[in-house]
Amino acid sequence: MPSQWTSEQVLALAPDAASAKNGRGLATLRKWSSLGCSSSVVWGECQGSGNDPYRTQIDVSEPAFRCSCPSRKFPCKHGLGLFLLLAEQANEFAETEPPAWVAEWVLSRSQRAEKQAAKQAKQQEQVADPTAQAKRAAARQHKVSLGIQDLRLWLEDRVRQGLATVQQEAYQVWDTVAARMVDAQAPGLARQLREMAGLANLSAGGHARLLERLGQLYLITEGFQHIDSLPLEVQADLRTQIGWTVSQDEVFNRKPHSDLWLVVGQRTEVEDRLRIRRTWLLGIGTATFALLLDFAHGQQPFEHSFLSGTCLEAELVFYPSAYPLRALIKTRQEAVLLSKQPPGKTTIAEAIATYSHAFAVCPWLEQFPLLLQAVVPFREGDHWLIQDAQGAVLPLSNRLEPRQAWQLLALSGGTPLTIFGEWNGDDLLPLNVWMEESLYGLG
Amino acid sequence: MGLDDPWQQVVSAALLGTERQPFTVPMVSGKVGQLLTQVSHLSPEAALLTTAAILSLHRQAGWLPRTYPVVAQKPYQDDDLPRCSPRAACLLQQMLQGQYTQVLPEWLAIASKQRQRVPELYLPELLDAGRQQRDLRAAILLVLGQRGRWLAAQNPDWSYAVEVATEEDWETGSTAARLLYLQDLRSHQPDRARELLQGTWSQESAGDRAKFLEILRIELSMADEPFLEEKLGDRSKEVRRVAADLLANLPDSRLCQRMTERINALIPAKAHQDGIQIELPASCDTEMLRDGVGQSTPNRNLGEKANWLLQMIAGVPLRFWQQTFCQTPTELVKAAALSEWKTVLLDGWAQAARRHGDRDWAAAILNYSGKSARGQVCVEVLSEEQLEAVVIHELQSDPGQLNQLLWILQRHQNPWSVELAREVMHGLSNLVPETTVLWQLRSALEEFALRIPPELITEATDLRTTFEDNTILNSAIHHFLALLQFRYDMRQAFEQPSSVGHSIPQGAH
Repeated sequence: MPSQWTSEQVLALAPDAASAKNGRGLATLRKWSSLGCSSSVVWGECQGSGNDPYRTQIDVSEPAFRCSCPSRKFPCKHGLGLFLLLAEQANEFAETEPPAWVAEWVLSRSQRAEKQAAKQAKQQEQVADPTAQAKRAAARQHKVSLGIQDLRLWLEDRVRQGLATVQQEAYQVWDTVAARMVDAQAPGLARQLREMAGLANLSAGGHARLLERLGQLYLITEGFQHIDSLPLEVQADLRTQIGWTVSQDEVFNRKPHSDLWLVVGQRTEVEDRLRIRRTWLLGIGTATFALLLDFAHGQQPFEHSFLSGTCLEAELVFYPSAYPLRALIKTRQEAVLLSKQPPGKTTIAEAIATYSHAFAVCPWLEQFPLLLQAVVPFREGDHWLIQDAQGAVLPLSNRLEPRQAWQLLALSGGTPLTIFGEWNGDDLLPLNVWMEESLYGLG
Repeated sequence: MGLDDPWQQVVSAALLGTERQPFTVPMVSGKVGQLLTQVSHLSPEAALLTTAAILSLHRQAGWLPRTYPVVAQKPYQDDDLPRCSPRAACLLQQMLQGQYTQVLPEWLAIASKQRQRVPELYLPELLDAGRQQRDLRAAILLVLGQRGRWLAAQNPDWSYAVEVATEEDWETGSTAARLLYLQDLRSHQPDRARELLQGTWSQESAGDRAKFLEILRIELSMADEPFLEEKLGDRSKEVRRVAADLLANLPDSRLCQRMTERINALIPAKAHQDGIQIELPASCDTEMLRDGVGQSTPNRNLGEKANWLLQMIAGVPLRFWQQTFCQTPTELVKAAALSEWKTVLLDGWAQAARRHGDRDWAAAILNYSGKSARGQVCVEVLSEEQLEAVVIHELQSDPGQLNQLLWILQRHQNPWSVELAREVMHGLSNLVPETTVLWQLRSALEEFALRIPPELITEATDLRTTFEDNTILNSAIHHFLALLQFRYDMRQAFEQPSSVGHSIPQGAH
């Protein structure tokens, strides 16, 4: 089987650094026997410490992993080792008839896909009791409006007393009002208040930044007070900000967007014990960005794996918003690889104009996808920046580790490269870089 | 942005609080101004918060990137070395992250031999590694490629990797850079290097002089003799010591002649027939001091005068003894063993053998002295072939005595021949565990794994069964095999074409 994956792409799938290290240790032919492949499935047996070797298999089209080892990591080190072996020594995998243990998995996977489709269809037919549903919704609406009235009072008190003393305040001041918002079933507002508590301790420019956030929070409460008079999409954005969730079924009923979606970037962040993964897609045909959010608790694996640089032929459905980004995959075909440079040609000025437009229709955007072709990274004192051919510069985020920044510079060598990253209005956090047809992950 | 800036006005008002000062909505022109007029009927607090929201959103939506003048890029030279294969790069990354770090020098050596460079992504970590480990620097320089050197020039932490290419740097560079430059120049143009040093000698600090002088050890020749002879009178003791030591390495130097004359005077006229007789010097005069005698105590078990004698013998060319006594090195060693000044003679000769790289003498002394400080000095002189021959000879006569040979093997820093590796592995499987110093063998095994030709991995794997029941060595053997395996994989990785994985793919199937 010819392989198009690079080691970096494979290692980006590792759930943690230890798995990456162990997986790399297993990426040697001597550890493996009965390597083979058939269509999109590869397999091999890895000798572990026990008597029986572990049976490891990967469906690279998704990619999906399965291994007989008892590890709870996903993918486990054997899965990563086998994938690395495929990336580095693909000619060792001969196309052959799959053994029984592989054939059975392939069959069970296709059956499961059918079952899921059936389940989805069935769920859509089921309609919950509409009266009970309406009653629950009205109760929440009431709770939230009471909470929002409290929040408005609290916010007004803040500016009446002045923000000068905010740094001396205990965290509890913020926590109490955040807890009140949780009680009022407005978790989105609670989250923003807790973020602001961290901001209040910043010195230079901290007060101005805090005032921005307080003002924007006030704007949400203002909008909520006459939410019914607003356009539907704006209503949806406000409700998302306050903490309403839209059920997946509801989203699945929306208009599907079919395209060839390129995985342009991925980043996982941890909030308390919850891991949140953002996967950014770019529709090749429509030049639309989409964001897939996945959540996992603690060490639990994410349900799907996505490889940066691969293309999925899929139908996406978008969550309602004045500037729709968040989406779900409704149906998908097997993954096709494309590690060539992503299409299009955007200057920094054009990219920022797109952001400005998006921000004007939906001022709640936290991360905005920017794909910039032909930018050159450089250093100015302790700061890293990128510049395009027109001379426009954007600052890079200080969340970029020094090693990653230097890697970016090494890849560029002073010549232009393509960067995908998240823009937050102040700085850009690069996630992926394309140089000479090759993709490099910095996430 | 002054106080006229409407946003600053709102921030100031918010800091102060509306209870201290009533809020007045700032005057702004345009559409935002129109929007703000709708705010004035609200309560001061609501008006302040709403104004803050409107102005901050307006600012953010209208933000424009700064523009810098575009610096014309020097077109990148495409004639850089080819990158190593992705697999080789992956193994490199593993080492840079702390696994099998002992193999890193070998990786660098193969890459530079194959004239390949490190892929861009791994350059920062490699340059960091060289910053911490000075001994890797020379090898790193060879695999950086143009891209790596360009990168190193951007970060002061990596200044060691920036080429010191011209003589101008000799005048202005840092001490470290100048040492590197002189070292490099000395290996190509030894005379030019010495002249350069001569030119700036009087301006060098006392501390640096000895370091610079030490570089003349590279490609040392009689052309350096007048300069070094002059330095015997230097004010710095350390400089005098280095100069005397270097001159003693040149058999035709005036220093060696003086030493020979001094020794000649100490050999009784009739001594030549019956063994070796020699007398102690009565005193150490200023001439002797100038030549480095009496400045240190090479052997603490000997008296002051015996140490002077030792230092003089160490400065006498070895041919003197052969000519004076008409005997071979082996015969002379045998005769010295019967002498009253046995230790002085043998230690002095061992040092002279090391200075002049005299392998016949080294072999003769090693043969007599075995594992001792003196023996270790001699082992350093032996060629790889000689070392291997000694060990192979000993192992073939008794494979079980591998233990007694570990100290010689550990001196052999170069890759082993297949024959030696096989004998050592044979020796390992014939070890008598009861007589083995286990901790010593355990650390020796790690070094073996770095010297054995990796293609012997299959034969080496058989050792696993030999040590199955030995709990201490069992884990050491596993580590040994893992290291050897890693080196095997590395060799293979360098045989892969260096462009795999960078071709444009055509879809998954």
